[in-house]
Amino acid sequence: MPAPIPSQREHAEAARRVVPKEMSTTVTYLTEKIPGFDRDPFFHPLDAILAEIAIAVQLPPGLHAKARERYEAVRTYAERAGSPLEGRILWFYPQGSMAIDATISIRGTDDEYDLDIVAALALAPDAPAGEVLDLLYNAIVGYPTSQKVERQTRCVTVRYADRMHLDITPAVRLPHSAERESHIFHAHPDDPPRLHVHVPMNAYGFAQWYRSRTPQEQRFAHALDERLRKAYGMEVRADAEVDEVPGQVSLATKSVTTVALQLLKRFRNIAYATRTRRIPPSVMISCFAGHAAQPGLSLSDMVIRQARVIARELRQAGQRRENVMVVNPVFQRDCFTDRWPENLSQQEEFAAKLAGLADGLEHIKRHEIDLESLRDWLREQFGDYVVSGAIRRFNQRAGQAVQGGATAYTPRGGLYVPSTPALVGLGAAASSRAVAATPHTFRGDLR
Amino acid sequence: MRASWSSLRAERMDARAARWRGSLKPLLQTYEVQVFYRAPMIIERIDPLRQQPRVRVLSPMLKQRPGDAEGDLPHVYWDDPNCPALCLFDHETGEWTPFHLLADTTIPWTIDWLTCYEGWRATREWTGGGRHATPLPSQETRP
Repeated sequence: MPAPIPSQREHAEAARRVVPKEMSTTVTYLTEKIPGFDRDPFFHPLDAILAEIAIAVQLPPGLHAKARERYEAVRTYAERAGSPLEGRILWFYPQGSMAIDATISIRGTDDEYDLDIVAALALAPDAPAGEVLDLLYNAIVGYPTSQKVERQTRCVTVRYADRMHLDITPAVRLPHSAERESHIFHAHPDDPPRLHVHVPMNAYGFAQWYRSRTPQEQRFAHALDERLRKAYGMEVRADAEVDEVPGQVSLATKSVTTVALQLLKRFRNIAYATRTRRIPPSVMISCFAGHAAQPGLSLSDMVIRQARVIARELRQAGQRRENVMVVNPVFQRDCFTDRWPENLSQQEEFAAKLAGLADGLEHIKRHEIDLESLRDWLREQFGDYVVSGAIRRFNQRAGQAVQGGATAYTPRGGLYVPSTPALVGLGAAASSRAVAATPHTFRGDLR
Repeated sequence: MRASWSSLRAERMDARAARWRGSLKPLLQTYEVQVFYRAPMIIERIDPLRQQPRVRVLSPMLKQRPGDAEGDLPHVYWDDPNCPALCLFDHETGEWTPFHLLADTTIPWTIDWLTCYEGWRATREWTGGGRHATPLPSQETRP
């Protein structure tokens, strides 16, 4: 029988027993280590599979650059001669997930992406919110795409045939303020102007803060880059050394924190797939991830850490009978939780979901589970399609290594499929007990 | 064997035969396995098919998938329908002979097999390669 995933009650008890304090979650669960192998960020099968899931949900290679080309084209169109915004556009720049390289497919899909852009405009910061949004809308509405340009409550959406969306939010810089501290404009088209508001924000400053907290972890980024190329059928340099700067353009400039953040956002999307009300906002989760950043953790440990940090903060607010309040670390007036949670039960619900995810991952790392049972559990957390693909790629990678004799083994019978061939030699050299792989051919009766 | 595989324990059965039992954890599941090997006498003809070590998974019980294109359970010898022996190498190509160390061949190949088995269960695809044929002749006395 596969190891059962614990019940909610067991989750809670285990969490109390094992993780008395939040910051003590940085436990190494490997029961054995061979020097060298554990330098591979995907030594542990769970970390390797989580990385494959993250690759499946994140923006595919090339689409980031395509998004940049597209928003530049929209900008050019919006400031054309005769446009309502002619001479009034200062910058277009990415915000949100695109600014911190944490984009994933939108809720309810596996291959649609929302990319958030700020249009910094030369207008008065106290300009009527509805008028600013209408101005941007009127400047873009004729932009030639396959679908109608839409005015939203805070942005204007441009949709493309390949299911990419650009959400362009107008912003006006505040006078006598830090760099790019701005107002954005909230105006539902059906609401009277008295309900329209100006919302302080500094998306640019937040992205800079987040990036400063999450520097690229070279070995992790290199291993992820190699998997990303394989997933998309791109050429991989087999002789690439682990520590060298890759000769090819890196596709993933990622920290463990950011990939864990993508997994948490995907988990949220699946958990709230059928909800029509607002869901826990990405920027709130990103802010918590930035606070929880700690280089050197494994991917699974970082997912657990982020989940526990967020759950703890939500529950502490709940104990005070307050909705959680998360503000931009570089601009306190920029509140990331101004539209969620709407009540205490919403935040407790999300906290419970996150605790369940963390408990499940810890259970898997501490106990026994076969790949089939792991697949079933991961499907519930991250969705059928992406998990099936991730397990399939993991299996194919293992099979190729077995057939090619490119595996190594731990003394207690663990299989190690290296992220790069260089790491097999590294492990073998570091441990006299390591058994080298030799190719062989399975036979047997067909019944 | 002990130097390489700390989780396996040997039991000497007679002057030429031994059995090892212990755990292997290829991915996230621990398997209890048994390896039986009887060394051939020096005057015997080398016959890897007949003389090969017999590896069986004692627990958890291997799950079959009737009707699968790879067979109910890929790459095993159905000498014992309840606990088939794993088929780990091609006896016709010299991948293994009695001159090879079990610690360097049989055990890592068992880990490979278990990994591919888990992958097959999870994805229906046996990615470890191989070919099917040849029933295993009787040799081992089951304990």
